[in-house]
Amino acid sequence: MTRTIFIFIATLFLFAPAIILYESSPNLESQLLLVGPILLILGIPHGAIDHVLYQRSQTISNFRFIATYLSIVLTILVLWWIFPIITYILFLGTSAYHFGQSQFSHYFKKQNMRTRLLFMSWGTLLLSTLMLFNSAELDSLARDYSEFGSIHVLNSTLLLYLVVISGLFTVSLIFIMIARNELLKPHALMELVVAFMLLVSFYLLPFLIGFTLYFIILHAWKVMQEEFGFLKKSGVVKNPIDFIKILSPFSIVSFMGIGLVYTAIYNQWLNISFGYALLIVISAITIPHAFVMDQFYGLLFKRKFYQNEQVID
Amino acid sequence: MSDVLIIPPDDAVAFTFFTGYMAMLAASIFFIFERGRVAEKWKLSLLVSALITFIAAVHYYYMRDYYLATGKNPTALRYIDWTLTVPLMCVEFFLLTKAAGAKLGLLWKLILASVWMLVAGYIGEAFNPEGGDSTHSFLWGFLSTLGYLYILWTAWFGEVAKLAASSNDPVVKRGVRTLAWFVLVGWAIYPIGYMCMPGGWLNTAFGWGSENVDLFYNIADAINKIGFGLVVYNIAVTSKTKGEIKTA
Repeated sequence: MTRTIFIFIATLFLFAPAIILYESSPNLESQLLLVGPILLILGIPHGAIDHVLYQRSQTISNFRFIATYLSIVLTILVLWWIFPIITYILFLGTSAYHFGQSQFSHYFKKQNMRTRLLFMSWGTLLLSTLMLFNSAELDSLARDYSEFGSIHVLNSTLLLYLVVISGLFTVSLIFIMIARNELLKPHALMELVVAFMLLVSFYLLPFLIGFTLYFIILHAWKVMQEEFGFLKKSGVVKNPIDFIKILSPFSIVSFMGIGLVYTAIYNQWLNISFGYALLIVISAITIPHAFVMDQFYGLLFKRKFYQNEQVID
Repeated sequence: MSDVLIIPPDDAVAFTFFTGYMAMLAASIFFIFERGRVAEKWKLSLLVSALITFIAAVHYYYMRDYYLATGKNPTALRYIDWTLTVPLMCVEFFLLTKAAGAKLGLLWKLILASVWMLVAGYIGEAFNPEGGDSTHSFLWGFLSTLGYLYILWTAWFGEVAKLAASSNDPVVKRGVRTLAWFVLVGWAIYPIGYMCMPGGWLNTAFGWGSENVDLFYNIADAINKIGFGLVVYNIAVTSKTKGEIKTA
């Protein structure tokens, strides 16, 4: 068990039952008010040092990196305008791979086709289960907001197929990896326990609260620990204060950007809902971030980071 | 004939009360007899395992009758059983890590955490207002979980884990890790039972009622108490075999 998994279990057992204190399930707006600040404060910074991480594996100037990054962001924004459904699916697929990669990164000695397939199938299982178990909330969102309605192509039947296929694929890959000595049995068992708890939390908790619990603890917090550990080892940072200093500039820029989008919507300069705008903004930064993180994990494996770190038991 | 209590064929709770009772009793006999076969240093551990299952067997004997006669949850008997057996499980952790330098303080901390967990759980369950109160259920469940998390942390990362890691005996290392798994997976079944009571999370989410409480508790007890003892027995037997091989 990692300490991150312990924190997830503790949070799930201690705080998730508080949901019974609500008379009825909170709607998406209330959920966003409740978890939005946590998502932003912990979620944004984990992707705010992409330039530092990328420069550890590639020789590229800050200017060139930021220019390329912004070009990709702009391209995605344009894609949302022209092909919203395709871009939405691309965003979900990229996120699935990225979530799977960060979940299993510390177990393997190297990345190969099997590990990449596992990242993809585990992430697909995660997202499709989250959406299937909360399909009523997503359906009502699609009914209330026309822009969400236009991209709402993953209906319950399709999601059910995705859950079954990705679930079978994930379990089969885990067994194959155990048989090939690529994954230790206790690690596989721990991941099955975590997957079970995630599915239960997605089923019992409202959409955004269930997702936030996973995203903040098992994803963003874990990734930040890896980033800090790596940069400390590389001599870029000495302590957590140094780390906060290097992730602050782009975090602040991102907060300001989101604030700007909110202002534009509030003043009706932009005629879309805030939730939809947030989805577009998040997808525009997630896709390049997932690419940088793939490079970063490649670097971790290359430098045998986890073989020298006592992060798992 | 009027005193004979009949098990309805579709009553899984009554069924598990009877099988639980017999399984605990059989396990006690097994541990007591096998105690003579293991090395001297493991005898006390095996005696504690036998005590855990025997105390549970006696309580199950009364609980199955209480349940069949009244159809109600034997909450008080259940918690009396746990108040005795769960601290004894903590004693097992202490005995296993004693050779690696565990101090008496560790034992007391684990016992206090387990008593805290059980007392809070008992108040949450036994004093739940008629019809169920979510605030009451959540508050006492929260407090009880703090005790559980302390034991879980100690077993996986804290003193117990560190002592096991510093032990030279790989059998002890493996055994402590297996017991830590019991705390993580096996003990996690109890909160599921707790949350089935009226006003609990699973009661409001799935409509699972008090009949499910006992089903989950009976399954958890069988897994944890007998399983816990079997792990200790396995450590004792394996460790002895290795010792014999070494001397030969």
